[in-house]
Amino acid sequence: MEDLTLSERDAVTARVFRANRGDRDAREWIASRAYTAGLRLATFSLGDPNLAQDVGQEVAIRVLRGLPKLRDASRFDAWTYRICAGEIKRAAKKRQRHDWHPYDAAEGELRVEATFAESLGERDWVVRALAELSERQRLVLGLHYVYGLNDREIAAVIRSRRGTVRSLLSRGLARLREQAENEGESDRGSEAAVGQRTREEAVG
Amino acid sequence: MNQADVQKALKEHAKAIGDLQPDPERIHVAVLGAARKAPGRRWTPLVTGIVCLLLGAAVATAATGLLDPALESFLHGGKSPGRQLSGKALPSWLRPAPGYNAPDEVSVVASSGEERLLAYRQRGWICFDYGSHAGECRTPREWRRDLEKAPWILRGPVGRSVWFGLVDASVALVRVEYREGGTTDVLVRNGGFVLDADRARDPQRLVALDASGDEIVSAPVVYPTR
Repeated sequence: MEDLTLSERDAVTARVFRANRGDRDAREWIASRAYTAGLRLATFSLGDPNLAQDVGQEVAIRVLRGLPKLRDASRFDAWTYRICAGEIKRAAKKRQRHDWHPYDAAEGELRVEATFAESLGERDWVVRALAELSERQRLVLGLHYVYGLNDREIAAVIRSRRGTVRSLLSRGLARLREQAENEGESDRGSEAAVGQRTREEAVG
Repeated sequence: MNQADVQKALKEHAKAIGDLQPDPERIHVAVLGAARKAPGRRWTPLVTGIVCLLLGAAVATAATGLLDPALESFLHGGKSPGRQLSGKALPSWLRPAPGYNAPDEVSVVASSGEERLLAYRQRGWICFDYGSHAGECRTPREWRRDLEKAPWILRGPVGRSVWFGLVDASVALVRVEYREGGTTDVLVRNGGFVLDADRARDPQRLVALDASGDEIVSAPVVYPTR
């Protein structure tokens, strides 16, 4: 869970109550929190901030509509993350139907907006590698690294066992490492090919 | 690259993502969107379909209780109600003959003297013959629809002064009232009846009664003018 102090947690709970009574500011605040969660988790999971904005908006709408049914307001964040997971899954399916991939292999570049691609810098391999993981692995890694949730908290969000979460985390990391090594080898391979061409041109 | 490098890269990536800020305009749109009525879910058509099926089944079940079980079964594809006829007992117009698609089973639903209400199925139609005077074939749905509209389907007078009819389960007896006050009663059999009235006594009214003797429906007797 996000590292909330008691007062912060109470603040969330109080705003949930106020939002349910129709307080406009509280509803805006709740929407913003839900939107942000959706935006960040979806960006991590889908590697596309534009699509993540859509997910964030949808999460905010669903959270506001479902708020009156939330029985335990102190569980707001976990509940929101679950909604995020559902919306990310839906967005991923939609993207799959259009055969879209965040990495354009032909062009050798990420299909993301320029500012985000620039912000990635040397880390663009992370986006490519994450795209090769399973949906659940990406979600678990996202909850752990973006929101700092531990395995117990993640287990509560994805309604699974702690052992399953630990397994998803370790396998996800191992897979990322494999991907990173493959990337390194292919980079070395392309550098070697460039060197060979340069030598041939020099000889020619 | 070792595991620590991967974790470090992930942390940096997550930190960069943590700096992403939502678009305030879109948050506002989300708040407004949430205030509107939620659109139907994707499975709404499916749920609606199931509900319609259940309601349809409930209506069908309710209709089942409205008709005599034998008649109900007949309308649902079961055998014709009443006493089955075969061979020479069949009326001449329903006997097998070359080039004639004779019905498989013919039954007498109700009778009065020589007058019989016959039932049979022919090419998917449900047919009732009113003695040797007339007959009609309709789809099971049409028969059912008429029996849902009114407690009886009355045909007559034909011949001397005979009425034929199909009734729903509420009708137990059909009566004809004469001008001098007397009556002739017939019990409903297999969801039908044949009432042979005495024309000389000047029939005035036909009445359907339930098992308690309460009147359900009535019709004035009108003879066709020649």
